[in-house]
Amino acid sequence: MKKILVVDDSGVQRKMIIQIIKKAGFDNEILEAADGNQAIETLAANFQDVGIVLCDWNMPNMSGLEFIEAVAKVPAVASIPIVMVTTEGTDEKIAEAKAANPNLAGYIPKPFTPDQLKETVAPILSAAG
Amino acid sequence: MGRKEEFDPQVIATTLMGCVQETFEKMCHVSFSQTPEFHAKEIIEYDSRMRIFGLEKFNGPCYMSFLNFYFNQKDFEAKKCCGVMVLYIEEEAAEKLVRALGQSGLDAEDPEIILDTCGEFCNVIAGQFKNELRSFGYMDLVISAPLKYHNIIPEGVDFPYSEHKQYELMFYLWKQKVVVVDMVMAPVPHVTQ
Repeated sequence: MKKILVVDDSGVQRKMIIQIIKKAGFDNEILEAADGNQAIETLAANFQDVGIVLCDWNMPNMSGLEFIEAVAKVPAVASIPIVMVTTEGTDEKIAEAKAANPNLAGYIPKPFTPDQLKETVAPILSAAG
Repeated sequence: MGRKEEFDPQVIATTLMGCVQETFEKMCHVSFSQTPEFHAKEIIEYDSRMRIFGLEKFNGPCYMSFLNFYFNQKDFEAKKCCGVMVLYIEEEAAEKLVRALGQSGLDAEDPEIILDTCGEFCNVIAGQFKNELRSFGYMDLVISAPLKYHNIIPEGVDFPYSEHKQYELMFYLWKQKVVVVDMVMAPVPHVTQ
C-alpha cells in the first residue's frame, strides 16, 4: 500500500488532514514534513513508496511552490501526484503552481470541508493502490 | 503597479465578515447566531506598536493570534507592513471550536493545541481575505506566519503608521460574542489583472 506524505508547517493542519484521510477509510501509512526541505528528505528516503503528496504553499525554509518545482525536475519522483492544500487560492496562484509542476493532481483552497479533501484524494489513492 | 485608492471601510468589513464566516462554517460546521457587528475606532499606540489587550474584548480570558500584511516580499523582509489582523476567540468558545473541528482528533483541553488552532484560523481567514482583495483587482499581498498568545500581546503589534483607524468586527456563536477580529489596512494599490 502506498504511503501518503503530508507537508504543512502547521501541526494542527497536518493532524486535521491525516484524520480526514483515516476517517475516509484509508489505512495507508502517513509521513509528515513541516517544510519543503523536510519533504525532500522524506521523499528521498521513501520515493518508491509514496503514492500522493498533500502540500501547503506558505512554509518557512522552502515553500510548497519551490518543493513541487524541485520534484518536477527529478524523474524518479516527478510522476508522484501532488495536491496543493493552501490559502493561496487565486487563479494566478493555481496557474503558477501548474507551471511549476505540470503533473499537479489537484488544488484544494483553505478552508476546505472534509468532503472536499476526500473527493480529491480518494481517486488518486485508489489508483495508487 | 497602479494608483492607491482609499479603502471603503464597509467593503473591508463585508469582505472580512464573509471570510470569517466561511472559515468557521467549513472548518467547524458552525453558523453565526446573528449578524456580525462592525465598528471603526482609533488605534491606541504605545511605543510605536498597536496596543492589544484581549481581556477587554470579552470581559474574560481569550486566545489570540495575529499576522501582518505586506505589499510585497521586499517589504516583508524589511518588516514594513501595510496591515495587521488580530483574531480573538473567547476561551471557552475556543475549546468548543476545536472540538467542533470534528474529525480532527485534536485535544480540545490542551492550551497549546488551542493556540495552534487559533493561529490556523487566523492564517486561513487572512489568506481568504487577501485572495478576495486580489479578485477585486488589488495587489496580491504577502502575509506573515501567525503568532499566538493568551489574553494579551505584551509588546503590541506592528501596524501601518499611515493609519489611525482600526476596524473591529464582532461575531456571535451560541448567542454570545465569542469571536472578534481587529484589522488595520493601508490603501492597497490596484493592479491590472
